[in-house]
Amino acid sequence: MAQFTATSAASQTPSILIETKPEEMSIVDVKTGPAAATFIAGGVGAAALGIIVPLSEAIPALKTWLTWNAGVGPLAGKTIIPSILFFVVWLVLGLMFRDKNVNLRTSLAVGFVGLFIGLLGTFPPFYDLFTAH
Amino acid sequence: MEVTSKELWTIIHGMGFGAIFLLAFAGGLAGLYSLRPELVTVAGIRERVRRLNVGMWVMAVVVWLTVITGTYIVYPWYRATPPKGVDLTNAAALVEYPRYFLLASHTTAEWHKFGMEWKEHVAWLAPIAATVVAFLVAYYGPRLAKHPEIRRAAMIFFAVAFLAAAAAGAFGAFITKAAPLH
Repeated sequence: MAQFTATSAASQTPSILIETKPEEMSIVDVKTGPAAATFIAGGVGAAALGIIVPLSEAIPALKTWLTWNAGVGPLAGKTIIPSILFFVVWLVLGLMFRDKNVNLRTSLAVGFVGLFIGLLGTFPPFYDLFTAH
Repeated sequence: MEVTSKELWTIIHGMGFGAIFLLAFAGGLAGLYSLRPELVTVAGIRERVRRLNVGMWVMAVVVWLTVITGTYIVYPWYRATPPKGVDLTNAAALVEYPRYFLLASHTTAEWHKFGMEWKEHVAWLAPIAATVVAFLVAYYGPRLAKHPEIRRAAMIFFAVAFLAAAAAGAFGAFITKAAPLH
C-alpha cells in the first residue's frame, strides 16, 4: 500500500498520513489495426494538404480548378480534398484492419511524416518557392 | 452598442469555437500526460478516461466547426473584391475589403501575404489531428495507460492540432485588428 507521511519541524503540528489504495483493473486489450488506420489516415490527410497547396501555386490551371466556390476561391478545393481523403482512407483502412494487429511503428511513421509534410507545405515561405510567375 | 452580422460570425468563429479549442488544450494534454498507472489509481484512470473521451470529441467537433465557419462564412467577406474603378492603392477606399485594404500598403501587406496565407491553410491540419486523438481515446479508453507509445503519439498529434490552431488564431486576431470586418 502506498503511503505518504508529512512531518513537521514544529512538534505541535500533527503529521498526517495519506494512503492510496492498491488496485488492479483487468481489461481485454484491443487490436492495433483501427489505431494504425487512424494514424495513417491522419498522415495522408495532412500530407495531402501539404502537397496540394504548393501544387496549386505551381500549376495555375489546378488553382483555377480548385475554385469550387466563388467566395472562398481555390481554398475550397485545397481543403475539401485532404479532408475527404482523411475520412475515406480512415474508413477503408479501418475496414481492412478491423480485428487485425498491424505494425504500429510503420503507421506512426506515416502519420508523423504526413504531419510534417502538412506543416511544411502550408508554410507560405515554403510554398511560395513553387509559385508560377 | 451594435454587433453586425459579420462581426457576430467573426466572434462565433474566433472567440467562440476557436477559443474553446485553444483553452481546452491544456486540460486535454494534462489528461493524456497523466494517464499512467504510476500516477493515478484505477478509479482515477476511469474518471480521466470518461472526461477525456467527452472532451476530445467536443474539441474535435469544435475545431471542425471553427475551420468550416472561418472558411465558408468569414473568409469570403475578407476576400471580397472591390467594384471596378476603385483605386487598389488607396487604402482609405478599401476599408470594406480587408484583403485589398491590407495589400494596398507595404506596411500591412505582409498581414495578408504571410499571416492570412498561413492561417487559412495550416488551420485545416487541426481538425484532422484532433479527430485522430479523439478516436484513439475512445478506442483505447483505459488501455491507454498501458500503451505509452500510443499515448505519446496521441499527445504529438494533439500538440500539432494546437500549434496549427494557435497560429491561425493568433493571426486571425492580428488581422482582425489591422483590417476589421464590419
